Amino acid sequence: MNLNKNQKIAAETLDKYLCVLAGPGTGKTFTITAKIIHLLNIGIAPEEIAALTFTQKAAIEMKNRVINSLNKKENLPFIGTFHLLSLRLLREFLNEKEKYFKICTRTMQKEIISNITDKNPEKIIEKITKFKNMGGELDEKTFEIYKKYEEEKRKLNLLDFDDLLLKTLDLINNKTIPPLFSHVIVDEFQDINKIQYEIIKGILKEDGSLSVFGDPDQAIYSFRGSEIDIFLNLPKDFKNLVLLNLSLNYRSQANIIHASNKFITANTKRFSKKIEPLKEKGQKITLIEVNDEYEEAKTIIKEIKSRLGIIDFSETYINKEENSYTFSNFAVLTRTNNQLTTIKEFLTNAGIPVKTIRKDNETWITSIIRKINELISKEEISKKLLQDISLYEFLDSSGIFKEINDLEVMILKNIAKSYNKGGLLEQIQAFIDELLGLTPFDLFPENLNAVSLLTFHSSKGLEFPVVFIAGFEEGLIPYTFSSDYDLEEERRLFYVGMTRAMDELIIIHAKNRFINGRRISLPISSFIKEIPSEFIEIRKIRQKKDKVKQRQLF
Amino acid sequence: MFYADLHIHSKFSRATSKDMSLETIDQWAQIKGIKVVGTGDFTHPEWLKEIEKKLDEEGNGLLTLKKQFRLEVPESCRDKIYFILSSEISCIYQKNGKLRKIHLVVLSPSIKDVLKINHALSQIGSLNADGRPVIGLDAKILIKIILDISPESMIIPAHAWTPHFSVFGSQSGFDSLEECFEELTPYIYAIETGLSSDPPMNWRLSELDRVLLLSNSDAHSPIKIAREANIFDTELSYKSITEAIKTKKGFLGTVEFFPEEGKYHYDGHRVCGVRLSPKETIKRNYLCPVCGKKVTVGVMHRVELLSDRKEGFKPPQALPYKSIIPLPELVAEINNSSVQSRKVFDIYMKAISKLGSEYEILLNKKISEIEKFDLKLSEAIEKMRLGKVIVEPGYDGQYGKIKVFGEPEDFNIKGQITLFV
Repeated sequence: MNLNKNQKIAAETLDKYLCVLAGPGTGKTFTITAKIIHLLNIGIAPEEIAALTFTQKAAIEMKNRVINSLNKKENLPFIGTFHLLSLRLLREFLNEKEKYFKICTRTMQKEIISNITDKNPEKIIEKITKFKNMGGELDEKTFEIYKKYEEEKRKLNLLDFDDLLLKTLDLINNKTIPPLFSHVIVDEFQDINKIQYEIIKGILKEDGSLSVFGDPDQAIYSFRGSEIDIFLNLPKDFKNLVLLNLSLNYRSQANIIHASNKFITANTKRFSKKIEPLKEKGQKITLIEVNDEYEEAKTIIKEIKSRLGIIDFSETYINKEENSYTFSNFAVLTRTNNQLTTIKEFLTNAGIPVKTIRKDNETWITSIIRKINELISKEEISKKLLQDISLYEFLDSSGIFKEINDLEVMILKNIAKSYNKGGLLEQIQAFIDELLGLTPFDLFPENLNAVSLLTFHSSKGLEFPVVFIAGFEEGLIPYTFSSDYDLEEERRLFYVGMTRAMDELIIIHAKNRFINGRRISLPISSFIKEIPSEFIEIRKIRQKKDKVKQRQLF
Repeated sequence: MFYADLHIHSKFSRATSKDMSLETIDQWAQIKGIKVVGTGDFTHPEWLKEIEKKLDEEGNGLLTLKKQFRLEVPESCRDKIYFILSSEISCIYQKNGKLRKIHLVVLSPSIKDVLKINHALSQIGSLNADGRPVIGLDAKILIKIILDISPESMIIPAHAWTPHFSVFGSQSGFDSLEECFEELTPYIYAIETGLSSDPPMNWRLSELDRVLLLSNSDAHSPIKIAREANIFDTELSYKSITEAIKTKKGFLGTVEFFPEEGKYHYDGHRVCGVRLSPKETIKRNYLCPVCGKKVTVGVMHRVELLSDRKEGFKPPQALPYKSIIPLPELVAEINNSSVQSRKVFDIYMKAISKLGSEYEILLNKKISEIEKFDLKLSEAIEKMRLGKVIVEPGYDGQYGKIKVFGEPEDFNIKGQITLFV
């Protein structure tokens, strides 16, 4: 694939401050990778470059593309998440006493909190995180817990994920960490928070260049402290900012692009941006009304089956036109996690394989780390630890990959790939640091051939030929049940959902459903008025009649 | 020498009879006259629990029903039945830009192996929903996964020609074993020919000279068990049976349906009542003369397309086979009643009690002895053994019709659009 005109400019320009507005499906990752490769090709030293991503998945993808394009694994620039960067910096710049800190995982956080209080640890952690990242005030009781929690961590030399960034910023502010990079590239800039923003500015050399990529219309993490205003204020912060727009959409057919473009203009906190479809018009967006969540699930099954043809023997009598879709080409998106439960149950019972975001990522990660620890405590192996052996080859020959399933092997191998230099022990430590930063989102089995069941939040960055949006009802979309409900963010969430679809977008709303212990009737989402009707086709589902007697002439 | 039917389904598969319990399968295997029968559905957790509860592992890779579970069987055909752990997996995936739906039969040597396989598969798809689970994996990858954890297991492409769910199927299959299994093709030792094809049709593909042609019933109800089967001359053990499949030594041949009776022998549209011969289909550009949509291309047509030999070619290593009509169907024809009727069932059971198992009657019993039981039946069986049958081919999911008495035109009951060339 070649870069288009604007992608090429974005990749090759050396402007001091560059902001690339990259809407959905416009080849953002591709362009960032091209930029990294370009910088290397014009002779910039790898250690001068840092590319910061929002997820490890994106980092791995970029790293692999750089590796393939340059045909070398060594001497790569830093490509990774903010957490990983912070980890590396802290391990390097913290004083001897502190630098061998351990990461306080979610599980450990919960343990510590549970030892302090009987209250729900999840909620406490949430409050503390918010407090540490965004300031504000904590109620007295939580503040007490917070102090004890911090004390406990200090005793055990633990840093939680928030500490990683805060500590890094501290070291930047007290000049322990100097500006290190002359080229900093930031992906998904719309989801950045203040601390991350300060870190970026702190690691950038005075004569260096900063390129940020993102789309304010896809900022959906304000509940984690990210602030869309940082993006919107960029032109004010950097007077000589160059704004560039990647406008060509490679993903979705024209109807979906036009409809979503129009829809998002209802928001005020945004940059106006252009997105033009490369693909021709396909079907209109389908809108289906159903009775309740059960009929919703059944409708999804019916629609999937009608695109796959028959999937079991009990239906062979229906002669259906088949196309080339397969399970992984479908996704069902909802606003809340709960809605997915019914859908999952129905699809599974219908024999349709599904995949969801796994929430036990930490259990998995700790079991892998335990295995690695067991491995290196073996006598014959401990001798190797100080030698220069590539981690990848070490793990590969250790047999560790044989004990876990294919998907997990793939993730591990992808991460391990870039570890091939230095003492084995050091590599293992860095590898474990990186593993601990894996989020459920990073572990989503994208390659598994199954229907994806996702929330809008977790669908970010993914694309599917056929997308169902379920629960298109006022209250759920926009989600007004929440206390800190923000209409513009809700609009962005729906925009993210819509723009996952490549060929078909099917939106379903139910006349009534079970929410918070009650069966309630909600009207269709008010967002419907913000999508021009010319892009929508309303489909009624016929009430179930007995199957029309087959025409048999004998 | 013994007969074995390696592929059936339990009550936990879709569209199967709720009578498909281990007890009934054991009972009907005896009535039918086979010695080895597949358990079916070992991937289904509940069915596997029943297997563990009701069967004993014999130490030779086969299992038998515990005494306390055995059901009454006429003395004439009473026998000890051996189960072989078997299952069928539906792989639905995309390859080379096309949706593929391939059914694979899996044979396994022990419950231990089965548990490992099930664990691996449960990570990929749901095993609870259907005894024949849908797994979104490339058939080749599935083979790799299974053989990695259970090297003695064997994978056999099921009903290899069926349009919708098979390796050569017209709707979502491949044009060769290589295209589907690539470098793992050598691990495909056998294919199931399915009801709608018989060995001579498969002999027309030189690609298949290497593999063994198996026949199983794929039964969804007890009475359909052993409508096709395999003839072995080996020890009774998992190892001997799979060795015979790998080496063809100790494999004597198959018991077959008349392929025309199968559901997909010809092409056509069941809903429109249109049946077409392959030639007629080509002439009509694969379109249904009634609705104008594409017709379902059947087994004979696919053989025609993929074969590299003329009709009638017989490779030197070809094994013998015997074509049968299920005894209940013969009884039904003679008595002019429906196969499902009480009357037919009673006469059938009487024949079994007097003469022996169904296979004994259809394949071995002297005509003179059957004559003593029922003259008309002996005539019918003689005609069947000689292949003197009248058939109207099946198409698009509609079983073919088969008769031993009467004339072909008897079939053409008013108005059917049949387009023969």
